[in-house]
Amino acid sequence: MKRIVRDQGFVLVAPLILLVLLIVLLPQLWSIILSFTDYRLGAPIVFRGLNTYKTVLKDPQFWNAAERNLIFVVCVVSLEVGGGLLISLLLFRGFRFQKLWVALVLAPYAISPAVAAAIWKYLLDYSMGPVNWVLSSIGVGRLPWLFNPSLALVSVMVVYVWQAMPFSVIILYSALIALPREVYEAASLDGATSFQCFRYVTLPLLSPVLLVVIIFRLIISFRAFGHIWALTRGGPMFKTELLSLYLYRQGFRYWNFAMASAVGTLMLILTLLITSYFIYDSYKRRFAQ
Amino acid sequence: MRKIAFLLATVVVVLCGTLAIGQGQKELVVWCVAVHRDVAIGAYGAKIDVVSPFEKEHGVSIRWVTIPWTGMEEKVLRELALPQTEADIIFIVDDWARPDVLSKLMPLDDFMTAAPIEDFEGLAPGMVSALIYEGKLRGIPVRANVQVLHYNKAIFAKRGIEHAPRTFEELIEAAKAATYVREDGARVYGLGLKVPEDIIGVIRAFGGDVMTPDYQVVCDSPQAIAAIKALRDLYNAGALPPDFFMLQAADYERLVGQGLVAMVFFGDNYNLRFNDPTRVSPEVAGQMDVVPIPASETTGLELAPCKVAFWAMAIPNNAPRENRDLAWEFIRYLASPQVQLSMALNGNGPTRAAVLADPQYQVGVPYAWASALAINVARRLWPPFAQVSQAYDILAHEAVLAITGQKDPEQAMKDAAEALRALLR
Repeated sequence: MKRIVRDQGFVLVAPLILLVLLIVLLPQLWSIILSFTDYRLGAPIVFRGLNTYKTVLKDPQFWNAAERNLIFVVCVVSLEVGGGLLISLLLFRGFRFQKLWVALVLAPYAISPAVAAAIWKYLLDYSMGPVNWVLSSIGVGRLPWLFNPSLALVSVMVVYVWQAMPFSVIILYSALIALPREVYEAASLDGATSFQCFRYVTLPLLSPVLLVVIIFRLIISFRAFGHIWALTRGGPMFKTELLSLYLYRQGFRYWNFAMASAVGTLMLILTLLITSYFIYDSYKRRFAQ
Repeated sequence: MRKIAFLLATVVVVLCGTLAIGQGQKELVVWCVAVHRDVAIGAYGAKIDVVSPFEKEHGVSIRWVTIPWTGMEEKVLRELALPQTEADIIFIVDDWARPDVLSKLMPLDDFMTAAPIEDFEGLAPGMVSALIYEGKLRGIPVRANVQVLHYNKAIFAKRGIEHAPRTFEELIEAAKAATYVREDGARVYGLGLKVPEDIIGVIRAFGGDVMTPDYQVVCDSPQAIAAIKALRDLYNAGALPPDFFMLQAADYERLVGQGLVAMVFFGDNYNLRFNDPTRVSPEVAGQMDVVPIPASETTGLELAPCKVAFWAMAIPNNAPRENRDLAWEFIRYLASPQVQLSMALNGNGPTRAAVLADPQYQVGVPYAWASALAINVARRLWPPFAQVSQAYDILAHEAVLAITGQKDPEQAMKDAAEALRALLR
């Protein structure tokens, strides 16, 4: 009987597995195969072993993009998760018009990235943007938010965090609501201060959820593209070009699909390495408990 | 059951009938963007349908496969690499006229010998030469837009600039004079500069170039450096938008339309858009005029060798064998002087100077005189080579560093030249 149920289970799950194979694994496999060739769109495919990887790794623009990507990921994930935790803690305390505040905090997440980037591009416009108008009115003067080589990456990060932070808030706020009240009552009876409650009760109880949020945000922000493309297209002078934009440039501007595939494969490996550390750490803790 | 059988029988009869009719008439498949079809069938402008007479004469039906411009290069590159394509004719833009594309197009010399194009010499020689690969002609230019200088007469009058610039030095002075803050607080910039194509245009206006037609990299020449220095002076004077290197053509269209940029280099046909009251502010509509881009006094030339963007018709190597002669016949027909004139009256940019100078054309098109002068000296920005997009990026990067004062112009142009030479190797 058990075997029949198990077999039926496989049959039921099979279409889904087949779908994943077709639309995720096969293209990924093809991309990995292309990375060992010198394929340019329209040209014949010739295998070149690791030559494409050598070319990618020798390109200073790849390393510049990788360095920027690292800075971007560290900054935005810290801000998203840190800020998200702070906002969810504030919301957890409860306010008047609580539902309104929750809706306002979550609103940016409901906007499409392209629309959000277009709105911010207008807000930060040097000549006609409201942000610079306000700054000029108070005597600060206009700032080149999106075209100054030092300021552009910061501006892009701000826009990205603004839109992505609600994701952390949703998850963490839901987790906070679900935490057992008895533990807080016990801590309170033991004379714990608010900070001690947070440090020794909330944080440990939240850590599995926090870990999931961090892993999700790491994976998503590592391949950030839409916001940056819409705001700066990787400029000025490649100063906001991350690995995903570098990949796009190689693939869809230079038609060098081999290079683009190699960069994509390297990004996949890097993402797996980073996230596997967190997953391994989480398992280690679980088994330690 | 009977009803279903009847329905199926009807469908089969209709399908067979359709196929029989379809097989009775030959079909030529043309891959293009919508505008190519529209100017041929007379969708607007003078509304002269030049396609129907051809179809009647040759008993053929033209099937236009229109492809969105943004995805066309990718689609064409993929299609040309296949063993066979359905396309008998494809349109290619000048930027694609590089070895990896031209090598996949049929040499047209034998067709030309058998059935030459009427007044072939009348086609713009710069465009024709760009379509020659390994000594063979691979396409016939049928649509072109030369770049001219668009200027706002109202801003010129307000700032006391008496006439359109006749030399590049006058253009620089006009750009500085036209830079000011409007009564409503908005800043007006003297000159818009698209990167890097307009930078190449300015370098040419100073008698230099970036890459010669025989692939010599010359962007570190004294003329090119003088051009970059002139642009740096304009940037320092505030006559270029501070974010000029981030602005796309669409951004400049918006700025011109709001009267925030006094002069821009754009294709000649933009003159109609810039004066269209439904697209631009009432203060700008009717105020935009054109002149050919002037050359620097130092060159001894009157006009700068401006950019020309053009589309050519070609027969892919993998096109259906049986339709090739007919495909050539259609290309030959569309490139002929009379059909070029008809299409020009429909809104097509002609590839023949004679059409630009034709009185019929000049009546309806206010910029025709400037285009006719500019087309004689116009040429494409680069000679054909596979890494042209990388070349664009290299030049843009170094030139912007120099213009914005982040790098010495001599050094920047030297670095650009080295990188471009390395790219060609």
